Amino acid sequence: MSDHSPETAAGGNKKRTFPDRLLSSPRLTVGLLLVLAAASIVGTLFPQGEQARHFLSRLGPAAGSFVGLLQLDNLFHAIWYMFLGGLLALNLLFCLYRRWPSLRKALPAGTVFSKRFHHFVVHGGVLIILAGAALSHLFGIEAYTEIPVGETVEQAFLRKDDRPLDLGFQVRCDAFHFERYESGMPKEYRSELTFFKDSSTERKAPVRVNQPVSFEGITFYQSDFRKILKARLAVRNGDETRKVERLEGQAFDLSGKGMNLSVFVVSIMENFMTMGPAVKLLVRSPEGCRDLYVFRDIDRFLERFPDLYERYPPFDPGNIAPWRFELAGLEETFVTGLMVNRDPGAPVAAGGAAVLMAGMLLTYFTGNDERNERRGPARRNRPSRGGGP
Amino acid sequence: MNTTLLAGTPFIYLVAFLIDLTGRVTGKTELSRAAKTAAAAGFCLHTAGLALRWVESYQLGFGHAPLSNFYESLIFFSWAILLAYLILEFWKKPGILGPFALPAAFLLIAYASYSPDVDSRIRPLIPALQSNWLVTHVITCFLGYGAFVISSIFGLLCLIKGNDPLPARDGVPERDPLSLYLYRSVAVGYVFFTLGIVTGSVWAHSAWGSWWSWDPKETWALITWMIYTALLHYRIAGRDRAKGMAILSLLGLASVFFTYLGVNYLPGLHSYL
Repeated sequence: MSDHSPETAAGGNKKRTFPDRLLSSPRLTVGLLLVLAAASIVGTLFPQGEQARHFLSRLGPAAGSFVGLLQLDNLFHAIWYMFLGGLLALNLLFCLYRRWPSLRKALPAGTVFSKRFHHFVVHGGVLIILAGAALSHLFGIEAYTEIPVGETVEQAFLRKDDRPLDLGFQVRCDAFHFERYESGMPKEYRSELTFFKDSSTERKAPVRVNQPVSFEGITFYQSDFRKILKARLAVRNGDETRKVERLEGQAFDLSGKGMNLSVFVVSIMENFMTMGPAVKLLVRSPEGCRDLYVFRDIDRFLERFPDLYERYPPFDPGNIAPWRFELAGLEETFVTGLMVNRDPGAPVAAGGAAVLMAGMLLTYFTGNDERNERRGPARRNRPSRGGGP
Repeated sequence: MNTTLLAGTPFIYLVAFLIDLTGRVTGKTELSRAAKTAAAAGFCLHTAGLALRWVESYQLGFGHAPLSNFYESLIFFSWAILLAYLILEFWKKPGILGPFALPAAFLLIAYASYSPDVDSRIRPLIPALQSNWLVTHVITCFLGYGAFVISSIFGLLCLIKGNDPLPARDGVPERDPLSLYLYRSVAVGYVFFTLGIVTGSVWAHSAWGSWWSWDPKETWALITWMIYTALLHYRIAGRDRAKGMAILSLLGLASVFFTYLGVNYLPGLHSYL
C-alpha cells in the first residue's frame, strides 16, 4: 500500500504504536492479498450454496461441522473472509492516512503529476469500490419473479431465502418471444412488459438479455423462461356456457342455484395415463372438496369402457351437478423468468473503478518510475520515495 | 478463408522460433534479428486472418468481432503474446524473449487450428454475448494475459539466474534489468487486466443484474489480480525483491491459465466448453 517504510512515512512523528506500524505495513498488504487469494481458491473448488448441501451429505457429520464452523459452503460471505477483506481495507486506510501529511505538503507545490497524488487516487479508488461492495451487500435486493404470458404480478421472491418482496407496482408480461438462428442456436429472448402503478399504464418496455429495464428504482433482467400449458375449459350449466382459460395453480369461482364453488387447477397434463390431454381440478363446495379429472377425448374411452364413470366417479365430467366440465384443449405458452434487483452500491463501485483506472493510468503512463530502479544494486532493498504502484 | 490464413500462421512462428534458437546456439546475432522479422511477418498474417474473420462474419449475416468462442480466444491470446513480444523486442530489445514467447504463441494458435476439439466455424452470438462490452472486455483481458505471459518469462529468467555471481551469459542481461522488465510488463498487464475486470463487471451488471456474483471465472480473475497486486507491493516491501517478484510472476501465470482454461471444469456462467 505504501512505498514508505514505517520509519520514514510517519510525517515527522517517530513515536508510532505497534498496531499503527502493523496496519500501515505494505508487508501486511502482500500477506493479506496472498491469504485472500488462497482462500478464494478454496471457495471456487469447494461447492458453494445449494450444491454444497449434496456434497456435505456424502461427507458425514464430523466434516460437516468443520465446514459449518469455517462456513466453507458460503466462503465469500463467511465472517473470517470478510474480516480479512476488512483488514485489507483498514490497511489501505492507514496507508492513505500516513501519507496524507506529505501529500498535503506536496500538492500546492507539485502538480497532479506527482507520484504521491497518483498513489492516493489509485488506493482511494479501491476503497470506494469496497464501499460500493458493502453498500450492495447491505442495502441491495436480489430477487426473482416468474410471469406467465398475459399475467400480472406485484411480488418477487428474494434469492437468498425465497421470502416475498412487494414491488409496490404491478408488472404484466404481454408477450414472450424466443427466436432462433437458422442453425438452431438461440438468437433472442425478449419479454414485452407493462408496468402499472395506481391502475394506469405507466410504461411499456421490452426486456432482453443484456438490455434490462428499470421502473421505480427496480431493475428487471431477462434471466430464463420455460414453456407451460394453459387449459381451455368450458363449464356448462343448462344452456349457459362459461369459457375459462387457466394455468396450473390458478383458480376460478362458479356460482348458481344458491351454490358457490371454487375450482382450483391442480395440474395440466399433456397425456395423462395414456388417455390424452387432461386437467386435474380440485372443486371446493360447502359440502367439502372433490377431485375432478377432465379429459379432452373422454368420448373415445367411453366407447371402450362404458362403465368408466361408475368405476371412477372423479372422471365423470358431470359429477359436480349441475355443472358439466369440458376440456376444449391445451395451449402452449411461456413463463418468463426475470431477475429483479436494486443495487445502490453499483454506481458507487463504478465511480470507484473510474477513479482507480484514472489513478493507474496516471501512475504508469505519466511518471518516471525507472529513476528509482536505476539507482543500482546498493539501494535495491531499501524503501524509496516516489516509486511503486 | 480466414481459418486457412490462421492455420498457416503457426508455421511461421515455428520457423521464427527455430531461427532464433539456431542463432543462439551458433552465436550468430543476425539470425536472432531475422527471427524477429519472421515473427513480425507471421504477426501480420495473424492480424490479417483475424480481420478477414471479422469481415467474413458480416458476410455470413451475423457480424461480430472474432472474440466470441474458444477458438477465437486462443487465436487472440496468441496474438496478444506476439504483440507484447514484438513491441518489447523492437523497442527495448531485451533479446531474450524469443525462445519462450514464440513457442507459447505457436502452441496456442496451433492448438486452435489443428485440435479436433476446437470448433473453428464462425457462429452467431448467443443472447448473453450480444453486448457492446464483449469487445472491450475480451480485448483488455487478453492484452493483460499477453503482458503477464511476457512478464513470467522475465520471472523465469530471474530465477534461473538466481544469485549466480557469474557475469551475464549470451543474450541474458544482468539481473536488475530483468526485474525492471518484469515489473514493467506486469504494470502494463495489470492496467489492462484491471480494465478487463472492470468492463466485465459493468457487463455483468447489465446482463446478470449483479456486478459481482462470485462466479468461478470472476473469482479466479480476482485471484489473479490479487497475486499481481501482491507482486507490485512486494516490489516495495519484500526482502529479496527480484526473487519474490519472479516467484509471484510464475504463480500469476499459473493463475492466468487457470482463469482462462481451468474454470471451464468448474460450474459457472463463463464456460467455453
